[in-house]
Amino acid sequence: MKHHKYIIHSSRFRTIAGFLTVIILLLIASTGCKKLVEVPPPIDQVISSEVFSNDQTATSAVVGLYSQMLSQPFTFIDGGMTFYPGLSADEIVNNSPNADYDPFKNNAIPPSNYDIQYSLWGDAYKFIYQANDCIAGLNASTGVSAATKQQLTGEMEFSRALCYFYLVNLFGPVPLETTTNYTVNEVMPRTSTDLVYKQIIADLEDAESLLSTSYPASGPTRPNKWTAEALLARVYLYTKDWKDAEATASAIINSGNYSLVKDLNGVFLANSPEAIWQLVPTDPSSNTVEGEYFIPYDPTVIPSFQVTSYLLNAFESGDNRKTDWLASVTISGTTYTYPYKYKVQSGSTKTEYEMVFRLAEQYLIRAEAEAELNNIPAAVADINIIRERAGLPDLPTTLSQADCLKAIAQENRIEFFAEWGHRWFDLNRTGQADVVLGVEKPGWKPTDALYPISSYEIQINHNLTQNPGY
Amino acid sequence: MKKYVQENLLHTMVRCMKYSTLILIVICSTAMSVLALRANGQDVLKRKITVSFKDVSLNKALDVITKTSGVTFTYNASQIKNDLKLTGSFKNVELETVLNKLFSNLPYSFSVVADEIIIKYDPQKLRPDAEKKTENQQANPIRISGTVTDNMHNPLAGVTIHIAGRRTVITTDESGSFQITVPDKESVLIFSYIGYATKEVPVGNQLTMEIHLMPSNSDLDEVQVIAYGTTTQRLTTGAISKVSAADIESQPVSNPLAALEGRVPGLEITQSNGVPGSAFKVLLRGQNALSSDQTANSDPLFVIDGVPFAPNNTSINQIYSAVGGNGLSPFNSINPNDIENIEVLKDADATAIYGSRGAYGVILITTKKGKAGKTKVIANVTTGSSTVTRMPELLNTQQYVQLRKEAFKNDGVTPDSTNAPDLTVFNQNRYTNFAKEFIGNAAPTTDAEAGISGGNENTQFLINGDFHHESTVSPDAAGDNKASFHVNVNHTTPDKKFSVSFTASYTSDNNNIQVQDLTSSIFLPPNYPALFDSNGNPVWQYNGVSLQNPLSFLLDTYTVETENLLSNLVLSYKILPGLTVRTSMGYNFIQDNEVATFPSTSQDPQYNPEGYSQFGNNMFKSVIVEPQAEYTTNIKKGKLDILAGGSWQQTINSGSSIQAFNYSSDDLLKSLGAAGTLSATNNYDQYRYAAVFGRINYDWQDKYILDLTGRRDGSSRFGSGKQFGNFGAAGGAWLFSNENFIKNNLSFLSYGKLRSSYGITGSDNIGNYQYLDSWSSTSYPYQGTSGLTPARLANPDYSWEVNRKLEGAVDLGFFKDRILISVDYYRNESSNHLITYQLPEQTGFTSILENFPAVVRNTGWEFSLNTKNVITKNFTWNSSFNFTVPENKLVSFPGLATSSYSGTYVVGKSLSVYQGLQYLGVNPATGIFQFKDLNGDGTIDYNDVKVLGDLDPKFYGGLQNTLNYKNWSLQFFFEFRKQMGLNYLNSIYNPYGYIPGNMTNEPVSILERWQSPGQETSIEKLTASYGTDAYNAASLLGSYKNGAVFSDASFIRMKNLSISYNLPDSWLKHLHISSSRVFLEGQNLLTITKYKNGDPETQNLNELPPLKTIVVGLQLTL
Repeated sequence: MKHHKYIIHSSRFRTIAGFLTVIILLLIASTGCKKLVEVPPPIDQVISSEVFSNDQTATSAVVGLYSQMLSQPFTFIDGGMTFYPGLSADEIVNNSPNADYDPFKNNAIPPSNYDIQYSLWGDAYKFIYQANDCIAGLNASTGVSAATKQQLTGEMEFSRALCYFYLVNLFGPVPLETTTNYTVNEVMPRTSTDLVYKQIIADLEDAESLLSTSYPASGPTRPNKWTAEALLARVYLYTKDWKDAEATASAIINSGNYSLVKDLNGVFLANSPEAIWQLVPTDPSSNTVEGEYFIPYDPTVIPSFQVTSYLLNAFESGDNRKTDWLASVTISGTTYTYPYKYKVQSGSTKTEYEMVFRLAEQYLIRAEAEAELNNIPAAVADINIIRERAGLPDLPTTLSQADCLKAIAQENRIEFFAEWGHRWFDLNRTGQADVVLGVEKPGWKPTDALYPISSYEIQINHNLTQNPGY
Repeated sequence: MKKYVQENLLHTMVRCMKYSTLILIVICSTAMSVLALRANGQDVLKRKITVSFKDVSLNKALDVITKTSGVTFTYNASQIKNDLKLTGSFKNVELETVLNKLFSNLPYSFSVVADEIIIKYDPQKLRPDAEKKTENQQANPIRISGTVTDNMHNPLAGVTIHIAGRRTVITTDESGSFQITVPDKESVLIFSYIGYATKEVPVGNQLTMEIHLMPSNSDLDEVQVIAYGTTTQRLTTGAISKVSAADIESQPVSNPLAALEGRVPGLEITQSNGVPGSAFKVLLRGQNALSSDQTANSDPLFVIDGVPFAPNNTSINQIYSAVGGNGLSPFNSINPNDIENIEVLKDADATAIYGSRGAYGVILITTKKGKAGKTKVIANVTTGSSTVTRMPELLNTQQYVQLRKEAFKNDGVTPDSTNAPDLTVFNQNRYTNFAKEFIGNAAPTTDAEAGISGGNENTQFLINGDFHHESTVSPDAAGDNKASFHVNVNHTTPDKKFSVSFTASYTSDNNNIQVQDLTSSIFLPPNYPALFDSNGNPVWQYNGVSLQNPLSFLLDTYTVETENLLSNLVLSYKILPGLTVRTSMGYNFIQDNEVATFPSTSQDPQYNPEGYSQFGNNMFKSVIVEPQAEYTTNIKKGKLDILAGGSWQQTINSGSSIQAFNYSSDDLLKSLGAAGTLSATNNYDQYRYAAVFGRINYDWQDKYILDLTGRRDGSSRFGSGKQFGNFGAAGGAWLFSNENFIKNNLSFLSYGKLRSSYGITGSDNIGNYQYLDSWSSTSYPYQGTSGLTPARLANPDYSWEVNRKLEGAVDLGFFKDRILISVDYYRNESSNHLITYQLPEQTGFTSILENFPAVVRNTGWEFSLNTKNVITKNFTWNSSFNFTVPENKLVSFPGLATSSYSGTYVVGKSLSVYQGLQYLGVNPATGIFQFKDLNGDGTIDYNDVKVLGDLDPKFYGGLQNTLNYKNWSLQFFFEFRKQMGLNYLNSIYNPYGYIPGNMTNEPVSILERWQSPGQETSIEKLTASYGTDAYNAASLLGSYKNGAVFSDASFIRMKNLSISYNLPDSWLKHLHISSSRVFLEGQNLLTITKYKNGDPETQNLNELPPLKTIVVGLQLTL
């Protein structure tokens, strides 16, 4: 009897044992079955190691940055520099109350402002990340040809310098990041303006040596040597390095690659002879952000923005820029004048590109450098080149240095109104902001010259400090 | 790493053992104290008595004892055999000795309750005697054969049969037959089977038996679907709640998730808004995931008929529409009427077998299956309409104009055509009730369903078709049309060895919702000019003032077509008695096609006159193959069940999104070919998952049950070397009500179970490829060259999120299970969190995905009570109540203060902690909102925030009552939730939009605004101008979280009401209709809340609140 029981049990246990064997086998099998859980990479992505393996994808990575720059209206490069500093200075005002524009117009930006955090600061660092990633990737690459590597590295150094240039002028000291290492970058404190400029100059000098004088694609749509020099000349001017500013601007002017467009209505066209760098709008349905948002669609509606009376009154009589670069509509007896440098409101055929650097600026940079070096006749000659195109009479070469500088400031104001924040940055770098805006803008405080650091950013990175006055 | 995992597992097992020891101690001490309590009433047995009797029956003998001693006996007369001849004579002997003698050879035991002696029939008592008998006396073994069938005479295979008081246990074979040898005539056979009432049969003189088992009347014995199998509530070791078809069908909803709201303890479901197709947030036992977005990553795993639902609970749309930011719910493409039941698996024991996906719980949806019996045709038609539950009451023109003027007066500003066209240009007497116009309509809803089902012992089938239409409350809404088809076929070979089951459902949904929810536009000034001209064209300006025109959205179209195919095939073969191999194969295909058109006429001509369109396509395809083997045997007195299996799953998600511009005509907007310019993006994601799993379940006489589960699995969502993980759980249950000392002493306690479990589950609930360092293409090429941009900050080293779950519960049934109570305590601790760690923008990205050693603990008590209050022939009344008290706590977060989460989380508080400015009310002197300057630095900013509370419910639950009187049936269900939430001020003080006093209408509550010094009120003075003190205070209200917008959002909602009447059979006989029912059903009929303006569930004035639906219907069964 007992023996029989044992047999029953043993057969049962045999089954159980067999079962456990199956489980164990399956377990073993699964560890060997890594393939079962391996998936191919996604179709819309390229593995980083592949990006810099050949000229084509490396070029895509670089031009991808330009596409990103123009991907969202009213952000950093995509109109951000024209609209926000334009509102903060005395150039343009929005016509109806608008929660996005009012804080900038009123020089009362709360540190929690969305555009400060995302559209300006956030976008700039997004672009800097991509530039850093490209520079490192190109540097380590073995598959990209030497010529392409040189060109692309130069473009990305230039782009990084461009972003830092606007950051440092909008915010003052900013974290200076030259790698993509987020563990370092997430706690990076603000770096002094001097050091940021030092990096900008180093990048631009390197870019200038790497880039060729010809453009890598059709038209002045990707940076070349002269693009890097154009920003470099401006940086020298902003850092009061008059000699280098003069020399660099001269090099560009004398290169013979560019010429002023006689017809003011043609300055901002695609592939304008005056253009040192233009970005090609990417949105299939529109041209430039300035054209789209300055020009009202219908002459019967109030435009979103108009130029200020201060700007309007600053035009000398007979200035063709007043007639060619401004337009107006009259509604219910009120006339609204708006910037009209770009003529195309919208449309999928792209006849106008976003002008970033143009030759006229180099004349005025050189003029200012020469004036600061007390070479008045040369300075006046440069000013007059710009004035002549605008249909204005020449200034005499007998101007005092102070008057000459004043004339240059006036010329900058008119030539570059509603264009990349020139007025705002000029007022700030020349110490005129308090003098001018203190009178024109109610509630102006000297600390308004710098935008606040986003309070959310300070909350996340405790090493960041707020600008005074916020 | 592998070593680490093993050590981790070991560590866990040790912890696991610790816990089970602890639980055992608790259980034992409880049991002992119960016994001790009993002992107090034993004095009566010590009483000495003198008694004698001769050749009398048992009850006669007991009578004699009662007479001589005054002791009363209680017993069930039917159990007392009267054919006994008892003889005895005692002189001054303790009653206990007398009774022991009397019952020494009888199958009875006795116990004392108060001063009464309770006598119970106890066949097991004789076991030692019976064994003695076989040794000492002549044994008379009897061989018995028989069959076991159900009430429909279908044979039942696998019925457990054991001889009372003996170790022998057998099971019936495929044809329901059994053969067993019993020791003697006195033996009793006990038949038990899942879902059926246990039956005890005395052998007597029978040699063959025909046993019919009746389906159990107790809710405890209803079949409960668990991972890879079934059990009953009586025998389960895990925490499982069930919602059955009866509760789902009575709700006129189109999304099954809506039908679950408030019904399951521990399950918190929140509707995003009332637009048809909108998403539901599902949280099972609280938020575990740390995330910058509170809604992300905590969805339970949804499994439909064994197949993981490919999109789970993520939104499936590509194009933004009126359904809002949380998107389109994939569950909208499942017909709630096809669902047989929904099981919610909560603890480790129930979920660990899902391994790396069970961390946030598992919800199993089982669709309807064919049943053997006469062929039945059922047709069901309902029709009704929906309206907004709680419509905010807004200012009329007179009030509005007065308030606007007051705002300008407060500011000292003169209204002019620029700052106040509403006061200077618009007609001052025009009035439009925009709330009524935009969301005030009644939305018709219709549902028609027909099905046929039937079959025989071997083959059963079910075919069901359903059409559902519902509209929305906005004008010109075409609405949502859904057609679905469900089929199930089961076949078993006559020898019962091989069986096949196939289920498929197909749903095609065509949802024409608007591009924008018009709710956000009801705040237009009430004197706003007409939005359409006499020709039906939208108006964009009025006397030189440009207008917003929300009704222009009606010219835009948005259509989403969703197709959903769910199919499942199960093949099963019984190789040996007790050993079954099974393979389950599933396929789920869900695809949506979206088209949105924006004709030029619908756009403000000021900006862009060109018509354009958007096309979206999103497809999820999931295949799963799960081979399994199950072995059932009896060891000693217990039943052992071993399951082993493997699982391989692949899910593909691919989609595209196309923007089309440059059309020559608005009429061509739905054509891709007619577009002059196209810009497209597409995506393709693949997810693979492989696992082996096992379960060992040992059930010792339905008293002690042990359940061990384990799984090793791998997921493609992790980088190389991090793909595999081990998960497991142990669960145990003690059905103490099956112990004799309970049976004998606490007869009112019909059911009692203590259960506990501990285990580890994981979560891979993150997107695919997140570990991959890659570049994605830019939205647009640059000058014809395609662009790339870094896709993310990549981290190849992250791994599973780990969730440790502990559960302890007691389930009790009283008075033959008429009262069932269940109390659960759970503690889930998640660690190694996979979080999108927020980074400052200066890193170039806003976050990175990484494991983070924070610990989040969810604890809670779940309570459920089911009662059958009245059971009479004509009237029955059942109630069901559930109640959950959850607690969520961030236990630790290393380096929180310096992390990007410092403003979001607080250690020791809930993840939904609400930190904000301390609100001091409106200053009666100045009429300005005031906040406390906590740090005293003179400015109010985020440095002044403090913990104000959290957004978790304090408790929630539901109460269901079902009353049946003759042919009438009434069912009503209340959901309740106690919580704090964001009030209407949060919606009207918008930092990026308007504030009261600006050109926007407001709820009438704004009339309480501050007007003159000294006035005590809750709303500050109105302002229309930028930069005033009132404006600045209002923007503080809008920009920072604060106490002013945080208030009680508790509610009690009559979620469902259903009244039905079964037409008398006598009426139907002539029409050859076997039954017919007319009914009225309502959803969200009544909301009781202190919450002002808007709905306490959605808490957003800019989104459509949940809808109230009333339908009437007719059901016919042929």
